Amino acid sequence: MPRLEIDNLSCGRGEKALFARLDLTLCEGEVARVLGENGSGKTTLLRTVAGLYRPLEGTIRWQEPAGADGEPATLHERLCFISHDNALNGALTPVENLDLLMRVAGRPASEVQIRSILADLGLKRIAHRSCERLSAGQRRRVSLARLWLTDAPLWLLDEPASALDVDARAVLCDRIAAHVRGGGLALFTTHERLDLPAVTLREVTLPAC
Amino acid sequence: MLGVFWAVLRRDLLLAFRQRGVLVHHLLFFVLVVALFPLGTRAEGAILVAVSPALIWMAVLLAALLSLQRLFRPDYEDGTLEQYLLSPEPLAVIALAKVTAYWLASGLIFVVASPLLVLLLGVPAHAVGVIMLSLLLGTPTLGLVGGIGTALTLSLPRAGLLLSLLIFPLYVPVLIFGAGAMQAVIAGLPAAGALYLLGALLALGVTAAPWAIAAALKISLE
Repeated sequence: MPRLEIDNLSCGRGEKALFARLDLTLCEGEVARVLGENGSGKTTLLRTVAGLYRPLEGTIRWQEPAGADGEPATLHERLCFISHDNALNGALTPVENLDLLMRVAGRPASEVQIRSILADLGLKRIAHRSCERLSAGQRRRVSLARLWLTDAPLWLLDEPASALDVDARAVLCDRIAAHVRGGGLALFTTHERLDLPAVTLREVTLPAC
Repeated sequence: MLGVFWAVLRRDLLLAFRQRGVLVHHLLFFVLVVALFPLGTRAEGAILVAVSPALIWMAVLLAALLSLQRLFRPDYEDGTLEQYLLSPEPLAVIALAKVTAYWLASGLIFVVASPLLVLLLGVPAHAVGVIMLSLLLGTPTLGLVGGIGTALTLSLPRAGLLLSLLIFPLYVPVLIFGAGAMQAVIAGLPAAGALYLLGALLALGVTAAPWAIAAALKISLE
């Protein structure tokens, strides 16, 4: 059973810790929302779990039974990280951007797949327009389309609902809930209200230091 | 692994094509530096030919410095770079793909434009082949070494000056052997020695630089 184990974790930028001694275990089918005011270290936590920052103290482990080849999977192979930045190049179209992002993530998607997902999300009209001509909300939705293309079990979402309208937010909530009900794990931060249907949402408060 | 290499290479070439104004800009810079030089001197033909190797290579170095700024910065700013770092594929492969695309869209264009410029300076036509070969072997090394410098200075605002201080000393061997090959062929001497050394530098760069770039990118995003 896949499991994310965070043990006695202290994170921060430079020497100064933003929070200290966080313990959190996220099992199959569990979703947690990170609470905290601006600057309390929510983004730093997600980026540290993703492996972009080194923890000041403590460990982050991904536990999963070894696959058919006997090699235990690493966290990097199991991760889908949607950060604050959309990772879209303005001169490329949504289809081109998503194609690259999915290949880099080790989960290539065909152009047909990408286009049908974009159509499902109501973005068909802009699928071949360059991203610099899209609105902030449209860019966010294109970036979030990765959640429909990936089969990664662990999702780290940093403010996924920023710039989204009410309808798009509901679609996002449905997707997160479906992922969790299907045995996935998710850890996210948000300032907006996100109601995940038929899912128990755990809340994590960052311990001050 | 190859799949990611081709995907990044194709995407960066597509980007270079979409933003071809930038390429024209760099090429114009290269051409103008070389073309303006004779106007600023009273130098006669023989002297111009004598200084042409240094002139061509200095123009290439300056144009490389100008274009290198854009190698990783757009990806750094829009968040694509952190997705590269999180990829299960080796970051060095992605770095090599990016430098390759960068070279195809800048260095290779300088190589193609160089015959016109050296003929403009009065260099004998029989030397053109070797001159192009020296640029063909030297410019990828500039991209690989410059890639390390840009990756290291990525998180700094206004990194241009620091970048030049960092990478110009490392460009010295390429400058010496590149200009050396041109001088030798203009003087009617065999240029093979300098070309072999340029090739050796390139081989060293291709094997070592991607890993150094990958390490530098990780430091920059930390």
